[in-house]
Amino acid sequence: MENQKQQLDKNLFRPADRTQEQGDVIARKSSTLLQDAVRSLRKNVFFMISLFLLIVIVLMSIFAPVVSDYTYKEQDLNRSLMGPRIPVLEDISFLGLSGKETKTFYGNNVQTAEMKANTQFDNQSDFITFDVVSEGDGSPNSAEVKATYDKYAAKGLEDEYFYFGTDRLGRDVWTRVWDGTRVSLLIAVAAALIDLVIGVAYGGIAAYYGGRVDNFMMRFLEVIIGIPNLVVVILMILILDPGIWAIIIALTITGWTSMARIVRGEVLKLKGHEFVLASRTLGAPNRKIIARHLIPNVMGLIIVNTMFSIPSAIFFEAFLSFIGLGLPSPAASLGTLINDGFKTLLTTPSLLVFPAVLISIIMIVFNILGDGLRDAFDPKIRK
Amino acid sequence: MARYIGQRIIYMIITLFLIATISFVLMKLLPGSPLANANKLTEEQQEVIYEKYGLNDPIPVQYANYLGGLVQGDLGISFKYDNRSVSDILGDRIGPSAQLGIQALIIGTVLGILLGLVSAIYHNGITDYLSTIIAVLGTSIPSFVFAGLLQFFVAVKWGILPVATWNGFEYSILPTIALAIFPMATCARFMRTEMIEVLNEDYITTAKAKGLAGSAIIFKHGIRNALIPLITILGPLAVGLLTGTLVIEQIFSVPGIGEQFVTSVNTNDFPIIMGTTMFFAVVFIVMILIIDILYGLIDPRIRLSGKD
Repeated sequence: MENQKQQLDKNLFRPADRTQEQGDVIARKSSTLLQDAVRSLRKNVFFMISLFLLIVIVLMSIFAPVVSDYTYKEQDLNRSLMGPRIPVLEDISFLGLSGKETKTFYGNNVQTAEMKANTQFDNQSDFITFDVVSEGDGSPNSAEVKATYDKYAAKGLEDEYFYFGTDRLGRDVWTRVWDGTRVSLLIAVAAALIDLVIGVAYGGIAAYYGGRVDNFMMRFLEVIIGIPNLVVVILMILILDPGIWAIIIALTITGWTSMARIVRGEVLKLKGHEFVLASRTLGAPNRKIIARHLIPNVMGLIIVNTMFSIPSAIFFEAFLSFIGLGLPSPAASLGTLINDGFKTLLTTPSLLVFPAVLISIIMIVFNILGDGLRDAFDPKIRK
Repeated sequence: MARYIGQRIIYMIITLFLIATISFVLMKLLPGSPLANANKLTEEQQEVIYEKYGLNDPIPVQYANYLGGLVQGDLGISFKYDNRSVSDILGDRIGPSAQLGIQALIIGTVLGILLGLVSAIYHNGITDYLSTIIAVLGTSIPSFVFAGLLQFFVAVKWGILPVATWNGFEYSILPTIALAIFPMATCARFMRTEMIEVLNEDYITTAKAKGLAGSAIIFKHGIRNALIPLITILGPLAVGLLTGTLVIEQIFSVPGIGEQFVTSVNTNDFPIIMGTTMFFAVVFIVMILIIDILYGLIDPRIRLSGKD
């Protein structure tokens, strides 16, 4: 390094011609709030993983039911409560995805234990394989036999694959879970978007016009906020015909209030800023001030709030289905699937596990996305 | 302050009146009736039953009677349980619900505060990450999923605690845990942010400069200031618990108000549905009022900004 520096010829250097005007030119375009946000979100590993997961879940919920060989409402009692069976993975025994049921039976000797297994497994002795763990010495329940029942073969369904098994009515759970995911997501997103439109309009108008309009609108809002949303949602569901729209309306009837409050607070704050005053002095119409100055500045808050209202709508939908106010059968949503799963929790827990895991993943993903967006849009911690 | 409380109470009364009116209108619109098998009864028998429920009066009279009854705590008579008044049925069932709610609120907030404090004090350490993960899972995963897990593993697989019903303290443990997870996670998240913020305040630096011991700084200056804003989330937490009890009581067959409500929803017993709704509304609104007043008393800034 030292040597190289000495070799440089002084004549290579020239003074930079720098005039007053050039000093004032901004070299790079200043990045917008959105660009800043995108840049910081790209660095957020959890955010990117969640985004990827969400995209996968959305795509699955749209295409899995279409590609599937079964429909969400196709019943066949002959194949009720089949175990989960997935090609390729069925050969890996510890995953328990082979569609075979394994259970341990006890008896005085091997024979009685095997007989118990037989009665338990539809008397299909040809399809049960026994694995004697302990021969037993004739005393009560000393013999231990592990019986594996190949239900798919017994029912003549060797060529069928129910990835998540079937429910009590023989419906394919894989198709139902993804179909239910789509319905749940649809309800949540629709509710969140309607909340957004009403909330932004209400809050924006109240704050922008201020004075008596604001006062009246806010008093009305306070009364509405005072009514517990659980109560309103349940009352609305009772009077509307059950279905997707009833749930969406019930969720939005109280859901928009928090958005309206937030937007109002933010617009009130922005309204006092100089750039709004400047624009008004220059003769910009109200419409233009709202569209060009106020809305872009509240955008971050609106996006974040919507992101958080989606998981709470998903939860509420599941909750309503759970207490019997949800979608009527045979339609599936994550809530109705979980509700059904509880009925067979003791015998086939897999019916509860799949929708429960999926709803948990969706909720976590949305919360992480919301957290990430909040941090990204928060100018206080802007990098 | 008196003016603030007075204003809040007036709002509360308006809101309750509105809810009562909506409930009444809905009750008139809905197709439920006290007659379980109407076609088997004679005209006179039907008359007697209608008379009993006051359904022969003109609607405005019924409305006045309904409001008058509400003020006295009379919520009407159940359609399904013979001659039992709704307030009677709810009175029988309030015990388990209240016990569950209070246990869950105490356990949830205490554990949540501890968790939040630990992760704020060891900010960015492994404990912080662990408790953040617990908090995210706890706020995201619905309580009924936890309830299912607890029931399946703790009760069915390992047989440590009873699966369901209500027969003493050990029966309340699993539902309490399932209910407490949400408030715990919410408190932990909230406490963590508050505590980190407080620990960056100037007065903490002053305390450090004064040479106070670390524990004295955290306990005397940190926790006290971080705890005040916690009161604001107690309201939403209590509401969450109310919602939670509906599901959790159903899953664990706890004979509480929530379980009764779900049963009544499925049997169209409208007087009970409306009565419970009114009851929830009153509990909710009074709770929010108390919390707001408490917060106003502790932190004068809220009172002043409350006027906007």
